[in-house]
Amino acid sequence: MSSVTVSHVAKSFGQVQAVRDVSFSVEPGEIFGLLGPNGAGKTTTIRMMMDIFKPDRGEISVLGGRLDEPRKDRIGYMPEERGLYRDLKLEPTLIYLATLKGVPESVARQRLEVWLKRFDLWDHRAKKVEALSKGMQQKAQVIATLLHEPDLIVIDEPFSALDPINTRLIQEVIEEQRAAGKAVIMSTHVMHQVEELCNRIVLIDKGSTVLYGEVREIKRNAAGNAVRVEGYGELGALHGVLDTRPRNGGWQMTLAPGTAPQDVLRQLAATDTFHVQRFEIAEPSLDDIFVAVVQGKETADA
Amino acid sequence: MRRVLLIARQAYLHEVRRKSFLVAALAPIGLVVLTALLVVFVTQQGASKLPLGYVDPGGLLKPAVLSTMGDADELTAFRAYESEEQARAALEVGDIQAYYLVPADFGTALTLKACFLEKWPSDRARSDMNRFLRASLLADLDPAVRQRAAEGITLTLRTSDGRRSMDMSNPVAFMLPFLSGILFVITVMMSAGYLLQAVTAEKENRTMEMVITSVSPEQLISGKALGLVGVSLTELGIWLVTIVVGILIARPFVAELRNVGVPWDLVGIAALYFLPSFVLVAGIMITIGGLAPDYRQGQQVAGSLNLLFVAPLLVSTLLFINPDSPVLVAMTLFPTTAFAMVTMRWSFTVVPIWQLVLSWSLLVATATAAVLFAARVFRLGMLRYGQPMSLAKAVSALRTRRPRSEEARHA
Repeated sequence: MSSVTVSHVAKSFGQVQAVRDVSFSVEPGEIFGLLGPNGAGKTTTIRMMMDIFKPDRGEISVLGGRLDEPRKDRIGYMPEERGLYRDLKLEPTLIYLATLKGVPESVARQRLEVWLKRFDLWDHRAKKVEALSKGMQQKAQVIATLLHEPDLIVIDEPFSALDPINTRLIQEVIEEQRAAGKAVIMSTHVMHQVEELCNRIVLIDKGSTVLYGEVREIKRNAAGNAVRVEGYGELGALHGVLDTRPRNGGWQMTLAPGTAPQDVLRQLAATDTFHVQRFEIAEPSLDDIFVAVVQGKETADA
Repeated sequence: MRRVLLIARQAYLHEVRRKSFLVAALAPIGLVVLTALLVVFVTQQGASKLPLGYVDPGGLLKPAVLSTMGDADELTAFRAYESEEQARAALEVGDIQAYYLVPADFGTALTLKACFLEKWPSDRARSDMNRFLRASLLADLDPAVRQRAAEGITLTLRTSDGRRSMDMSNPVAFMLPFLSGILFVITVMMSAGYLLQAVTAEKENRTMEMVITSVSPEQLISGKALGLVGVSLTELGIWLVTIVVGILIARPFVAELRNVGVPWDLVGIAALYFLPSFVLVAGIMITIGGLAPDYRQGQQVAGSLNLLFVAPLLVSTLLFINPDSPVLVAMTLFPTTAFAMVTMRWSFTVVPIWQLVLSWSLLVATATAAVLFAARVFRLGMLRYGQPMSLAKAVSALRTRRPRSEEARHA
C-alpha cells in the first residue's frame, strides 16, 4: 500500500490556479523529492495532503485513507513556514508537541533524551527556544517532526540554516528513516541533496506535474549522446567525436550519431599521448534537468 | 477531548508561570496586606489605652450601667472627677487621655465638651463614651425598651416581590455587588487579553501549521480558551481569597464588615453570565487574532473594542441617580455590556426578570454567533503569517459555504 497517493488534484484561490493537475504516489521505505520552482504549487500540494486545504478536485489518500486523527498521529510534518514557541523552554516544548501526537509524556521524555544528545542539544534543553541559534532551532524542528516516530515524514527545506556537519547529520537521519521503512517526502531547492537522497521525484511547474519517476531513470533519459573524460596528456582528434569542450577539469565530448561510448574509450585506451583517469557517460545533473524542463516549458508556453 | 485538555494545560501552565501573571495576581494581595498593616499601625499608634475622665455635676452618667455594656477588658475605663480642675490635673499628669464635661442642662443642650491635650480621644474611647451616655440616659426604662432604644433602627428595604432586600445600615454589604461586578468584568477582559496573545503567538511563532496537523483549529482554540479562562479564574480566586481573608482580619477593627455575608444571588447571576460573556469576548479576540498579523496590531484593535465591554464603568454615576434609566436598561440588554451592567445595577435596583431573561438570551445568541464566526475567520487567517486580513474579506468568507478563496494567499 502506498503511503501517499495524490491523483489529479487541483486547487485554486479565487482567480489564481495554484495547482492544476498533480499526481504522484509515495511508497514506504523511499525518500521522495517534491520539486518545483517558487510558486509552482508545492506548498499547496503539501497542504492538501495535510488536509489543511481541501482540493477542488482529485483524490488524496494518506496512509491508506482520509487524513483522520489516528493517521495524523502517524505523520511528521515540518512545514516551510515553521517555528517553535520562542518563549518556552526547549525540552517541555518538544514533549508537548509529542504528546499532541498521542505519545505518553514518559515515553516522549525517554525518546527526547536520545535525540537531544544525538543532536548535541542536551545541554541546551532548559534554555528558551529564542536563546538557541538558528541551526539549533532547525535541529529542534527535526526532533519535533520525528519524536513520535511517524510512518510518513513530510519535510520542507530540511537543510536550511544548517552548517555542513549538521546537514550531514540530518541526511543520515533521513536515510535512517528510509531504512526503517518510513516514507519521506522532501521538498527542497538544493538539487544535489535530492540527487544524493531521493529515490524518486516529482517536478511540479505552474501547478502541473512535468516530471515524475526514479531519479536514475530521469537522468538517464535526459542524457544526450556524450561522455565525460578526465586525464592528462594531449587529447588528439577522435573518430566519431563531434565536439570536445573543457568542463570541470575534464572534457565533455559530444558523440556523432551511431558512435557508442565504448568506441571512444577504445580509441583513448589505444593512444599513448593521453592517460585516462576517468571515463563516464555524461549525464546531466538534476539541476540541469530542472532548469531545462522549467525553461523549456516556459518556452513552449510562450 | 484529551488533546483539548493537553492544549488547555499547556496554555494554563505557560501563563501562570509568567512573571506578569504573578505580578497581576499577587500585587493586589500585597496592596491589601500593606493597607491592612497601615490601618493597624495607624490605629494602634492612635489608640490610647488610658481611661477617659468625666465631670458630671448633674449625675447624668451612671457608672452602674458600665457592667451591662459588654466585655470589661474591651471597654474603655472611665473615671469620675468632682471638678474640671481635678480632671485637668489628671489629664496633665497623663492619668487620662481626655475628659468630658457633662453639662447639667444636657437634656436641652444635647452637647458634651471633650477636653484633651494634643491627641483626640481614640475612636474606641469616643464610641464607648457615646454608649455610656446612651445607656445612662436609658437606665431608668424597662430593660426590653432600653435594649431596643440602644440598638436604634435598622432600615431594611425589601422589594414588593420579595426577591431582594437591602440592609441600608451596612454600606459595605450594599456596595459589594457593585464592586464584585467590576471585578468579574475585569476577569473576563483579562481572559480575553490572554487569548488574543495566545492566538497571535501561534502565528508569530510560526507554530500554527505544524500544530494543526496534530489537532484541528477548533481543538486548538478551544484548548487555549479553556486554559486561559482557567488562568483568569485562578487570578480571580486569588483575589477573592485575599478579599475574604482581608475581611476576616479587618472584622474586629471595622464594625461595618461584621455583617458582610456572601451575596449568593449575585454569585448565581455572575455564574450565569460569566461563561457566555467569556465566550463572546473570546470570539471577538479570536477573530482579531485571525485578522491581525501580530499581537501588537491585534492589541490596537482590541483596545478600541474593549470600550464595548467597559462602557458600564463610564456611566456608573448614572447608577446613583437613576439605576433604571433607559440608557442603563439598554446597556443591560446589549450583549457586550450586559454582564457588567446587570451586576452593577444589582446594588442599586431590582433588575426585572424580563430584562434578565432577554439580556441573557441575547448574550448567549451573540456569543454563539461570535464563536462560530471566529472559528471560520481563524481558519482563514491562521496561515497568513505577517499579512493582515480585512474584516470585509472575513465577512465575505462567511457567505461562502467553505472558505476556499482565502484559505491562503501565500500558498
